[in-house]
Amino acid sequence: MSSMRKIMIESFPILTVVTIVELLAGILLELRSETLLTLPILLVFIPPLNNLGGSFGCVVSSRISTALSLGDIEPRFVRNENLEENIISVIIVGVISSIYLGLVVYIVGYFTGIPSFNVTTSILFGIVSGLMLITPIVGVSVAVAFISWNLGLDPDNVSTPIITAIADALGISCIMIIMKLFGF
Amino acid sequence: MCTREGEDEMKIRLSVIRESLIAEIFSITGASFVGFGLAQTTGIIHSIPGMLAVIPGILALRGGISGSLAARIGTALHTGIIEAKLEVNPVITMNVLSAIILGFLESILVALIAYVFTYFANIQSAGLHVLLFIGVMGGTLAATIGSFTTLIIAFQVYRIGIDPDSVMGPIATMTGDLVAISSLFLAVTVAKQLFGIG
Repeated sequence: MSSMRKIMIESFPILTVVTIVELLAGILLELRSETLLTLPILLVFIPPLNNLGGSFGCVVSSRISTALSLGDIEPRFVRNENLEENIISVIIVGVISSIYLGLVVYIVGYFTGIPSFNVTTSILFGIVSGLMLITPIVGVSVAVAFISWNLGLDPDNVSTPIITAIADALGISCIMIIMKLFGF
Repeated sequence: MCTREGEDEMKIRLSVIRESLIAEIFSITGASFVGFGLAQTTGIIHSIPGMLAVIPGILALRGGISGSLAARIGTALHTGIIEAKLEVNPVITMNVLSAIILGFLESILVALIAYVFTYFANIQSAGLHVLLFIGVMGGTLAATIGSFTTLIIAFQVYRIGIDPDSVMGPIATMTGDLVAISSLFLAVTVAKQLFGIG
């Protein structure tokens, strides 16, 4: 039971912070709701982009947490083969995933009849938004995993919610910025 | 000797990339269906003012709750604390129960804060009672179904010899999203009947 209390005590304050960050993202959406509702393909982009960012960060931080638990790495930003290996691998995954993101949204639009961008614009939108999102996410996830480890908090309870929230807020901000860039 | 090590490193990297990439592709594909769901429900979003503000918060609960659950289960499997079997085990019960209770409490919070935000940002909202009902019903349902799904998938993945740490993040967020968006729209439908909106 004491570890249940630990999960609660660690998770609740963090999830509260997360909720507030998420609601800021929500307000951002609400403010551009007219454009989003008239160009619903942009709504299709939001969940997969947020998932890309969030799950990407979760993979980074879970791998770091496990490596920390096993003693393979130290919670410090020093050159470490294991850490570098992890980061290079996930960046390759991120780039391929971003291209796929643009493609899959185009396909969804094509088959469901939601007015869509052409395939090039869609892939471009995927790459720009994906890369714009995952670059800060890698740094944030490693830092969050290290900080929570140093503070003695279980990274499993702390890193994931914080990373997904940051990813969602950044993801929605990226879409807003790109909407401006693409002139919607 | 050097090349041997290099080859081993390459092999490890490729396996990490393959495992993560499959999970990402699965996750992005699943989420684009969620996006399609969102795009189809622009009517509902229109009819419940303040809905768009609540959606990221409720969707985030899946990340915070199913994601953490998946990571904890991954660590517990790796360190041998639990086995990949669905059984009444104090560690498993505690993990699932924590996830559900957190889902309930945080849902109340999402609705409350969303209401306060929309109030101060001068955005029209459907009212505190409606947002509270939708948040709590949608959020708790999502946390309950999402936790069990996460647990079952994590065990299956581990059993077929894939490292849950590499794949469960994306899978948990995807299934969590699908469950959350469905729960949310179920809650909206019930709320419309109950409060006679739209």
